[in-house]
Parts: sequence; C-alpha cells; structure tokens
Amino acid sequence: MSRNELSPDAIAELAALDAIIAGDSVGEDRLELAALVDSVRAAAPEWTPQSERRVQELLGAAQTRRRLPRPQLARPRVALAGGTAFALVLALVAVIASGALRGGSARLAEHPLLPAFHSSAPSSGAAASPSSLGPASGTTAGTGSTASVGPVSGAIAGTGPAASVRARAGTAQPPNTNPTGRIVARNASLTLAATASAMQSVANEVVASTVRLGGIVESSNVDVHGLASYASFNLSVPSSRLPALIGALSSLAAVRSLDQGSVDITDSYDAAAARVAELKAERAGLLHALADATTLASQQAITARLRVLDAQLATSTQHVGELRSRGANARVAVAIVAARAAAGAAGGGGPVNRALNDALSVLEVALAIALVALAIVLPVGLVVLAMWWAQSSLRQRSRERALQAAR
Amino acid sequence: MSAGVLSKPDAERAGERFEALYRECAGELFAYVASVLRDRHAAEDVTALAFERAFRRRRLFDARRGSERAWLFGIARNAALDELRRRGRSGPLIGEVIDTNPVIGPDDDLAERRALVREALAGLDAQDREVVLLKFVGRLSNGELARVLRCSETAAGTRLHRAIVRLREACDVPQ
Repeated sequence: MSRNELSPDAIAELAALDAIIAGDSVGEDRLELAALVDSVRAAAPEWTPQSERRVQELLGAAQTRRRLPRPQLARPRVALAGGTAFALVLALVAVIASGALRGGSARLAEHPLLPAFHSSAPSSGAAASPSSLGPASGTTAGTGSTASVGPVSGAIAGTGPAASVRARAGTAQPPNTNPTGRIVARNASLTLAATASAMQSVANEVVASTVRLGGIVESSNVDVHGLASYASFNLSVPSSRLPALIGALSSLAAVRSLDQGSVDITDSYDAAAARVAELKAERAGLLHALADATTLASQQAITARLRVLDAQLATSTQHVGELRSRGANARVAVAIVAARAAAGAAGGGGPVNRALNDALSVLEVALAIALVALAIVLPVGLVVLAMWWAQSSLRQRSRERALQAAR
Repeated sequence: MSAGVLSKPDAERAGERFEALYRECAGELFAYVASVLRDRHAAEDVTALAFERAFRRRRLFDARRGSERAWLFGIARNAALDELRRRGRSGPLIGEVIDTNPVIGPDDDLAERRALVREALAGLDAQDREVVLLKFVGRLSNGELARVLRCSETAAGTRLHRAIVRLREACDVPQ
C-alpha cells in the first residue's frame, strides 16, 4: 500500500486503525483512537429488529416478484439472447456478403480485358480483338483462311426460287443449311476461369480440342503473369461441331460466361449467287459477241467490257465464298481469365485437389463474411462501449455531486 | 472472509452464503446507508435493494478485487447515492431523526463522549462522514475503501486521515 503522501505519523495511525478494526491490541498512545472508533460505532444508526424485519420483508417481496432470478435460468437466458443476436448479425452479414459476391461477379464480367465476350451476339462475326490485349507472350497457333475448314455438312433442300438461283449460278452446295433450306451463320463467345499455373495447359487444350474437331485457330494470345494472366482465342469450327467444341472447352475450366448467337444469311447468299449467275450469263453472251465481231473497234469494246465483267465476277464470287464460309463455319471467341476460385475446375489435379480448392474457396468466403461481420460489429461495439463508459462516468459524477450536496 | 463465496455455481450453496453475508453485514450496511441518507425508512429500502442487487449480480463478483463485504458496500453506496440524487435533497442530520435515542454507555463519561462523537460526526461534511463510516463501521481495508470510493489507495488513505483529523477537531480532542 502506498501512503507516500501522508506523514509517517499519519501512516502509523492508519496502521493502528487497521489493527483496532481487526480487533488487535494497540499501545496506550492509540487508546484514544480506539475510543473514537468505539464511539463512532456506538453513534451509528442502530440496526433495530423493526428495520431488520422490514428489510427482510422487502427482500421477500422482491423474491416473490422474481426480481431475484433463479440461478439455473440465468445462463440459458443469456445464451439464448446471445445466440439470437449472433444469428441476426450472421443473417445480416450473409445478406450483405451475398450482395458483395454478386457484385464481385459482375465486376469480373465487366473486366476491361473482356470487351466483347459478354454481350449476346445476334449478329455474325467474331467480336474479340486480340490486338487490344496488350503484349503477347504466348503462342500464335497459326492463322489461315476458312478454306482449310474440314468437311462441310448440311444438304440443300433443293426447292424454291433460291435453289434455282443457286443452280443457275453454278455455285457449290450452300453450307450449313437447316432442314428448311436456310443458311445460318453461328457464333459463340466463351469465358473460362483457370488458375495462373493452369493457364498455359488450358490454352493448349483449347487449341487441341479445336483441331481435333476439324476447326482452326484464327488467332490467339496467351499472357501468363500471375493473377493478371489472360488468354484469348478466335476459333473457327464447322458449324455442325460447334456444340461439341463448346462442350469440350467447357470441360477444361470453370465457365464464367457463355453466349451463342445465329444469323440467317440465306437472303444475302441467294442475292450474291444470283449476281454471280447474272455476270456469268453476261460474260457468255459477250464471248459469243466477240466471236461474231467483224471490226477491230467492236472487238476492242467487247474485250474492255469483258475485263470489267471479269473483275465484277471475281468480286461477286469471292463474296459468295465468304458467305458460304460463314454458313459452314462457326466463329468462337474464347477468353481465359485467371481466377483463384476456379482452380478446381482449371484442369489441375484430380478430385482431391478440386475438393481442396473447394474447401479453400469456402474458407475464403467464410473469411470474407467474418471480415464483413467484424467491420460491422467492431465500430458498433466501440460506439456502444464509449456510450456505456460515458453514461457510467456521468452517473458517477452525478452521484458524487449528490453526496457533496448532502449534509 | 472467504473469497468468492457468491461466485459458487451451486445455487443452494450460493443461497446459504448469501444468507451468511446478510447476517454478517446487514447491520453495518444499514448503519452506513442510514448515515448517508439520514432517513431510516429510505435506508431500509436501500439496504434491501443493495442485497437484492448483490444477489442478482453475484456472478460479477471478483474475489481478486476485494472482499464480498467491500463489494456489497460498493453496491450499497451507489444505491444510496442514487437515492440522494433522486430525491435531490439531503436528509436530516444524523441523530436528529434516525436516532434520537440517548447514547448508552457503561458510565456517564463514556455516554457523554459518545454523544459528543455523534454530534461531531453529524457536523462533518457528507464525504468525510462517509469515509469514516466505511472505515469504522464497514471495516474496509484502505484498498477496498479506494475501490468503493473509486479513487487511488493513496487518495483513500489521505481522505480517511483528514476525515479523522476533522472528526477529532469537531470533538475537540487533542491529537
């Protein structure tokens, strides 16, 4: 005990006082203090039987009103209240967290590296622009024309004016015609998520699957830089094998998005084919006229017209070929993004690895929820604590003032 | 005083210990509260309230911070000051209303002295009177006194000594 602010005599007197109160004997010089203690005790208000009876009545009444809680009920009540509060906080956090996770997914879908893979593509043509994807450090698996596309499926219905035009034009059987004889151009965009370490192997599998199904890789870009890893491909595959290719690619990694579209290009194809037929007919007529020409001037005029006609015919024929290719081959844009959560589906390891990755994902989500809960509970708790402290402090000051005011 | 008797988990034992504490402290607690409030009726209410609160909060008792007696006196002090605060007034002087009976002693000198001390005690200010009663009647150690008064042990000792000096002065007893 520190009594440094008191004089030695005062300290000795307090020690003697403790001894008197404890009932120990003291020296003669402290008899006055002992008498003072005795007198104060004798002067204190008396604890009479009436007072005791009344206090006991008050305590009994309090017990009757159950203001004195039964001990065995106290803990379960506290536990119940605590559990209810915890469940409420957990539910609140779960709602907030689910919203956050959905927001996170949306943010991924709006990744700047994925400009064209996420919008539905009712129009034809591949949308991705690999040149916009930054420095390429991966492989370019060859580019080429659609002429190298494998066997073309589909049969011409052979009925109607369109078929007759195609016959007159002498063009090849139009590709990818459906049972009604229509020509349809198909396209798809697919976004996969794989771990950075699996990025290269998944990219290789994309190429292999495409080639295996008779398609080609028109362009590719693979950039492996940790969590910033990214790969993109523009693929062309026979339209009839598009579902098989999408199935194969989907099995390589977690699918983040998949969009498919189709456009009916029958009218465009028929118009182009008719134009070719017209040009060919005109050319045949000019050749006949050239054979019958008798003057040099008429021969030169027919020859000049034939040159113009040949150029037009070449252009029209190329256009028909392009349309045929669009009908015969589907365009597929594939993007692979790095994602830790997609590790299990990224082609790495077996079921045990996937299970471990799933467990890690669950732990990550749990940690995120715990952090959100902490972010809510901590400030609220601090505010409540500060309010409690302030209230307690003010109440105590008020009590002391009340004592000071008392006489 | 055994430590932590109110923190015993067993309900029956806790009840027995609580009764023992009541028998041991009730009179002194009432004397202290009545001296603060100067109203016997209110002191009975507050004494009952203090025991009721102590029973309800018995699991909060920490034996490392002092005896049950000191803990009980702390609860009673808060209840008494709350009562003072609620009433917004001070009660009558000690001895004038709550104890008008004559002080009895073995002889006339002692009785006279006790009457003198009662009068001197009543003349002290409330804070000095409180600390004297907590020490003399409540039998608290200086550490326990500090916790009840919410001050340091040194400050409690200083306050106590100054109150004794003033009491002596009021009694006109040479130091």
